[in-house]
Amino acid sequence: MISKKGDALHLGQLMHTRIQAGVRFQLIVPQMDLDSGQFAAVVGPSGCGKSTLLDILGLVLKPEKIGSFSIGGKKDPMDLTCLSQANQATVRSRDLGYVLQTGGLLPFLSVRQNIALPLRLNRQNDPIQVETMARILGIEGQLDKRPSFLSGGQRQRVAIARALVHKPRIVLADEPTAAVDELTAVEIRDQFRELSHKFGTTTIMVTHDRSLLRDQVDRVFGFKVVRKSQELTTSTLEELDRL
Amino acid sequence: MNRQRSAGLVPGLALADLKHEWILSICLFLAVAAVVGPLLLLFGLKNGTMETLRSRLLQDPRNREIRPMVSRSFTPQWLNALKDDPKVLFLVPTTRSISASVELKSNTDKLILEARPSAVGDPLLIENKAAPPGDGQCVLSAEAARKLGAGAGDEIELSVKRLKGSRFELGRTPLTVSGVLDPRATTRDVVYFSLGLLENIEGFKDGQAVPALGWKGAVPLAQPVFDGVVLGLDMPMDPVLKVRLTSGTGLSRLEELKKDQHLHRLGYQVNHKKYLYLITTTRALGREMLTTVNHRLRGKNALVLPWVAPVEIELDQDKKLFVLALPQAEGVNAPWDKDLAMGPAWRQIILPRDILLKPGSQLTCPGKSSLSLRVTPLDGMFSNSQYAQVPPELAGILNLSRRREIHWLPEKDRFILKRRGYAAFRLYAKTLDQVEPLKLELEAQGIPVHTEADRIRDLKELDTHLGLIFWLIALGGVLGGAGSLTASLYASVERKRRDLGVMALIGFGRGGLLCFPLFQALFLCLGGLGLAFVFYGGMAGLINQLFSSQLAAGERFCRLNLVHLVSAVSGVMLLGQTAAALAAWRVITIDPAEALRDE
Repeated sequence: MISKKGDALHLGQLMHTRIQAGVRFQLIVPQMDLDSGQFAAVVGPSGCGKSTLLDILGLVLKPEKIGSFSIGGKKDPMDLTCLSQANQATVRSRDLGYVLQTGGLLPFLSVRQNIALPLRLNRQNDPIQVETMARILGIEGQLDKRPSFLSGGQRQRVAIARALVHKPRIVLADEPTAAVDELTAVEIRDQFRELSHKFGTTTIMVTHDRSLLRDQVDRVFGFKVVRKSQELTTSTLEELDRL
Repeated sequence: MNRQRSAGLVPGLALADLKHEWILSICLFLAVAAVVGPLLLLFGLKNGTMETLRSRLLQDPRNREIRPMVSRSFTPQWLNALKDDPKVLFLVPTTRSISASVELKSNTDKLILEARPSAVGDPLLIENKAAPPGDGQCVLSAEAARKLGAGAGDEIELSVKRLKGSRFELGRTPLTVSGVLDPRATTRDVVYFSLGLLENIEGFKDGQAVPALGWKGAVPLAQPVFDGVVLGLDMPMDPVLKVRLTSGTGLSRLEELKKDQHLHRLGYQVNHKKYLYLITTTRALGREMLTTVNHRLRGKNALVLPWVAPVEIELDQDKKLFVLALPQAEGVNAPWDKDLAMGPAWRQIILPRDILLKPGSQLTCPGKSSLSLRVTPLDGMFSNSQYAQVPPELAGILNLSRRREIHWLPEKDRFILKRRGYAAFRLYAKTLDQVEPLKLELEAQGIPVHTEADRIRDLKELDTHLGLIFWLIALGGVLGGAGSLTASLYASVERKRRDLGVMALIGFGRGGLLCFPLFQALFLCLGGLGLAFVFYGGMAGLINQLFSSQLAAGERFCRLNLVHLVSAVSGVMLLGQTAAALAAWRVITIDPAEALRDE
């Protein structure tokens, strides 16, 4: 399923200043290219700017400076540098999916309704699609429950199902396994990667847990410090270990 | 497109959230109901009480009644003109109150009570379950009926008493009780008769006969009145005599008549005396004036003749001319005797040459009473002037008819005085609002009247004050309710920042998110209103049940109509949406990134 390089996401010449605990940090991303179906990881210590990068990729934070930002590659390119708020919402609902640390599920909806929400937003109310996704993730027995009745691992599976059900181009996952035990984390990661490959969805997972990534990700991005700036570069885990 | 789609999903999500937090939602429903319910009840009470009082005011004709506070002679013409006023629903003249005391005797009891006239259309009787009485009938007040032990259909006897000389005379007639008034009409002992019967009672008390009821007494014969006297003297009138004749006699203006003025001023020629004078008055005087003048001219061998200013008459409805008195006296050639007795002799007439008339022709006098009588033209005699001539008695009667209503009874050949006027009247305005204008109009004519205007004004003021109190309480309630609702919705939005952030993150547009608290407010207000209406319905039913014994059919102490209910719903919705708009404004500030950060 892996297609031509850089046909899913392209980000170039990003620079964004942020202040954390009174200290200025500069986030610099010279280039970031991802293909459809790639399962990528952004790794770095706490406070290095992983989540800021995710905000920018998720169209919820406007960077100070950005050279280029597009999805869809050369075939179906969509420039994301200057979208209106309404269009940002449209892109978020159609082309992006999110998996948050504790799922980010709406507590007043059932599991089924939570999973169906992106479909309904995109006018694709297909219950079979919801049930299929639930079966793949092993949560078909939980569909009519409220999120509060689920375990942490089940919640994350529901979140993955919601993020992928409408087959977005990009899924952004912010520490999706941070709140579950190690075994469950591995299971979730595997299911997540499998589905990403299956649906051709590019996944960017932010994590600080390098053990989860070993031999399981297609690309790894790491932060290195260059004169008070956090610069994102393509790395191998070994390179990161040396940092 | 996404914006429309996300907005379309929001009502369901807002409702799902309320259902999910059902305990909190019930608390909010109760909070809305706790404000709206008592306000509905308060307004229902204010509205129902005022409506009941207002409808009672409207229904009760006593509140539209206008009565003069002074006794005066109101002429039938004036009363008829007032009756024709578009603001007037009903008017009936009343007799003097001194004549309105009568005695009724039933099989078991007798009672002295106040008699009042009534007529067809009398709202006081109609609104109090009795038809206006006809001839030989009467309507009793509830209290009078109770004391007499009489009811509708019973026979009772009317007894009227008058003092003549040193003895009492009684007039009696049987009557049928045609109805008994509802107790609310009056608490006094009152009997209602037809106006005719009351006029007869007044006449009887004034000493007159009422032949229709077999009550004996005098007949109010009309007596001639004159505008002056013609004096014939042998000597010119000296100033002393002039003063004597014009002081205390009612006469005021004196003019000497030359020979050539006789025909023009008097209609006849006086040949007997050298000096002729005409002394006139501005008001009509009776025969006693002639006696007085005669008395003051005693020993002067004076000629004293009555004089009437020319009276316009109409003969057989097509011949108009003026008539003068032709007295019988020495030097005056009159074909009739002096001091004629009332009867055919009075109805003779001498016409000018150019007018021909058959015996028994109709003479009408277009005065106040439109007096009409048959006259007999004297054969072969003609007036020397343009005036017709009649005996001074008839001229005096014609003169009187210009001032008062007179009726000629052909069967008895008598001129009867009709009643001069009525002492008072009972009037009902068409609506409550027309009471005050009518009152002002009558007072402008110098007739102080009694109305229930003060009571109406008091009620209107009470309505205004109650309204003010209600609105002050309502304002407090509304402010409290708005504060509570705003705080609740605002807190709800604060609690849901994370969820709303997630919704924004997965693609809900700003419009859709804005609608979230608005829809929640809508559902909360609808639920709260539902509870408030249930509370109001129960309490209003209970209040109306408790006071049912004091309410007539269709009356409610606590009542809201459809307009009020629609206004309450609209007001609460508007308030809810205003409060929710503040919460919605808070939603705008929610950044989707908060969902990521909160995680």
